[in-house]
Amino acid sequence: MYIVGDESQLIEDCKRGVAAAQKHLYELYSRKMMGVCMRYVNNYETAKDLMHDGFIKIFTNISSFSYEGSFEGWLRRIFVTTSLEHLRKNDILRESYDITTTYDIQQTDESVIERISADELRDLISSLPTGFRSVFNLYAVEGYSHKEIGDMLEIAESTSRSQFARARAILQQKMQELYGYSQK
Amino acid sequence: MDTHKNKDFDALLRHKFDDYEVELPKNDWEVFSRKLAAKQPKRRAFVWYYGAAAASIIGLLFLGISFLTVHNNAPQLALNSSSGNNTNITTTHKAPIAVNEKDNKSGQASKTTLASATIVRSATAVPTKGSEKSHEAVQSQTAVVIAKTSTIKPTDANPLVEMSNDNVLPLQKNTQVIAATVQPTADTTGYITHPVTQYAELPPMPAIADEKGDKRSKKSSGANGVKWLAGNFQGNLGISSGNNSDLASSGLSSQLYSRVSKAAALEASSTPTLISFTSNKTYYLPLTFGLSTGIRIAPRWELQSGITYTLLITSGDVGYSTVRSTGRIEQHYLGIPASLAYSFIQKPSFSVYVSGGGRIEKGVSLVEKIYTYNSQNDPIEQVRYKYAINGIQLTLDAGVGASYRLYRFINWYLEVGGAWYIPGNQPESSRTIHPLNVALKTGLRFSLYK
Repeated sequence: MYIVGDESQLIEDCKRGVAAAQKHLYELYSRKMMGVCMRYVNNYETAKDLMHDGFIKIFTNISSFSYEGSFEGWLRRIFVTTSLEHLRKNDILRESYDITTTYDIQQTDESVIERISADELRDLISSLPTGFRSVFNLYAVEGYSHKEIGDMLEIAESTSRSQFARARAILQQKMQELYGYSQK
Repeated sequence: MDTHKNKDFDALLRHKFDDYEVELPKNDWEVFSRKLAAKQPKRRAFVWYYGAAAASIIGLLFLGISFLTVHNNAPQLALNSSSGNNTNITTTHKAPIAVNEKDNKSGQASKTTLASATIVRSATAVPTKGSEKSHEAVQSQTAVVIAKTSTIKPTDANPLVEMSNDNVLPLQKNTQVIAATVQPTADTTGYITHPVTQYAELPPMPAIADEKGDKRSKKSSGANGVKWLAGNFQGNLGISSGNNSDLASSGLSSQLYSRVSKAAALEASSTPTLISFTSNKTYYLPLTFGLSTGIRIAPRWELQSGITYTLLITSGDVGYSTVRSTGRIEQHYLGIPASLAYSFIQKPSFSVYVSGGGRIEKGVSLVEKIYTYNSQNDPIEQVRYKYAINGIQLTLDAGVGASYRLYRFINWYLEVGGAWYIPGNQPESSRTIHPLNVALKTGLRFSLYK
């Protein structure tokens, strides 16, 4: 049985390759990181494979973690990168979509977001075109800047901005349709 | 759209996913661990590679101390070997020195004539380059030593030794020795000697032997630095060195690793009677080697254990008649330490801790050796007795230490603390003389968290 110490001890044990520590770390973060992967790929099995790949990268490269920034942030970046690599490898990011539809949302209704569950919100995000969804996740959820997103997705910063604005508008439109998103 | 409202929207949305989780199948870890194992075959090989490398280094270190001690003792044993005219015996460490193993249990029952016959066989086994005359001298002088030792009662604390041997030299005939106590004095090398049982009425040692004996002693102490250094390097595996002020480090005998015939090495049924040193009694620095492991049992708490080997050496002069003799007692212990450590400073690769615990040790062997020297101070014979050590040695110790992670599960540690060797029925050694002492430990500790 693994004796749970503080986070740094857990990290050090994983650096040593302690199997019990790896299991503990996996059980601690796997469901949360599965949630990250699910926001990028709209398929449970694919997301699970990506989550596994991400943890293999983590256990292989955990010795490079140097305590600069939070550990969870470091983990999350690896899963985001792994998911984006999958999308890029399968050329999904370059798919074209019909985005000529215009959305005209006058105001946001905060109470709607509070009312809907994270699963419902994730489903809404998953319905976005892959490129939009990636930009939206990276900017709105992960907190990357448009410049960083441009570098990660190999697109222009302005493209990231425009795609995010469109993605948000689509989401707000869908919220209005599905959950009574109202104009006040 | 209002930018401020959009920011609120983004913030609410981000907050929604703060603790978002997706459930996984119950056997997900098993599935993942198989994937992980398949992806990491090189890492396992890597670990074994380093394990093999560590074992090789440890082996080389042990060879290193053997090499150093042999070379440091070479002058001691071979001193004046070239100056002897009559007893031109080769005594370098490469030459086999005759070892006569005797049954201590039989004690007085051994007859002098039988002992003499034994010695002749032993003496002829020594490579000699001298004449027949010198060969006879060797036989005579070795006979003296064995005759005396063979008449000592092993169970008698203060034995009365009678000399009766037709083969002995004229000066050694009919000599009687009586036990007496002398006060501690400081010897010429600065070591404090202890009250010892001395045999009175011994004829004085030849002046040339004393003078050269002093030189030999100085040479021995002069090599201490090298040996101490060697000991510390050895300690990388887990050395514990007693820090008594009157403990002198010195060289291990080149015969330390001599082969002992198990059939001839008899064991005593009780605590053995040790050599009675007449002077220059010295307790060597105890050396402890071992493997240490640490098992975490709670956050910041670690159970440390392992296995240790300890060598305790006592040496001194054994003044039998005119023949210069030195004795050496080697005690070998195997022990299991157990201590509890609490890390009050804990960093990813570094920790400082206090520890307390104990150690149980079992003496596995006690070996007495007697070296004799002729008037030219040439070592000419070695007698060896081997005993079992009954009982156990219990020790309590505590200290403060620091540990630094070298690689994954391998940590280097340095500890300083005190140890109390609980008095018991163990043979005399530095531990029985000084039960409470300071110990410096350093070595490698292997973390076992799997």
